[in-house]
Amino acid sequence: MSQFSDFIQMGGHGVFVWSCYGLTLLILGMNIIRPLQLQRRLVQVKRRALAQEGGADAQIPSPLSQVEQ
Amino acid sequence: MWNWFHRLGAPKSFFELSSKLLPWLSLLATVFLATGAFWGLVIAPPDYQQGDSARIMYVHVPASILAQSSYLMMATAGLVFLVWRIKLADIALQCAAPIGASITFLALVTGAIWGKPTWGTWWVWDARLTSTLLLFFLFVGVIALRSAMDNRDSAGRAAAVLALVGVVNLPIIKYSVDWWFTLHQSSSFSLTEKPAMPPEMWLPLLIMVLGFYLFFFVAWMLRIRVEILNREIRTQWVRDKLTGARD
Repeated sequence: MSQFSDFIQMGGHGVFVWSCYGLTLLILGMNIIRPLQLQRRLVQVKRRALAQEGGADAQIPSPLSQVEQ
Repeated sequence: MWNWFHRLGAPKSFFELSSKLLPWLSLLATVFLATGAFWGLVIAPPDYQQGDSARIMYVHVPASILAQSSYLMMATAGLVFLVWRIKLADIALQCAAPIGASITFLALVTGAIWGKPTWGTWWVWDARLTSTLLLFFLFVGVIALRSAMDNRDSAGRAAAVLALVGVVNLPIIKYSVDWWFTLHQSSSFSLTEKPAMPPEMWLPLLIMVLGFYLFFFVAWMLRIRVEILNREIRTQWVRDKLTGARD
């Protein structure tokens, strides 16, 4: 237990070290999540537009049909 | 005619190639980053002078290296776009900028956090830190220029020119620690010499650097794919994807 708290505290430098690693995780994570969000939104909007266009070539997409992730 | 096909076809082939590469690159990036972080935080020894705050190195140094490399890659895309007018290069430039800006921000902030216990200050206006701050503003400038102009082609060209002009800053960052007096230590790493630290420190650092590069390619590809879908929305292949049709 004390070994674990030593690890967290890092000889008084814990705040500095952990905030750096936390920020790294946050920034790297956002760079992955953000484009995935944008792609999902784009696909939704454009699918709706295509369906409204109607016609024989624009079928209403089934919820199971997968767009490239 | 062939040229027209070529231009139209390139984004599509990139999209399909990246569909195949992304799962593997993502897996590799995760493995490298997780291994490097665990190694740096738990296994690597504390520095004999700096103690445990030296563990910040394992995120600060990769972020700084990637910040500069991603700028160089963005500028290269700009050059390709200016010379050969390849649409995909313009997309690549546009998509590298936000990632580069965020990584430069990470390098600056982790540097400041490391500076506090090590130098006793968050920030000094010396050459290394100031030129890295300038790198951040160059990324932001490219993003701003790209979105400020309505005409996509002239916006792309303007952004590419700015990106190329900003390349001058890269050698300034690199040599700033040798040219001017600074608190920032000089590089402990070079391609030609033995690293100035023991293997139990440079090995996890090397793994983290590779992990950051892999992460960049994953994030870059993801953004490029969104932008390709966005720009090619009127083409048949994107329509087919959206409606779930198979070709």
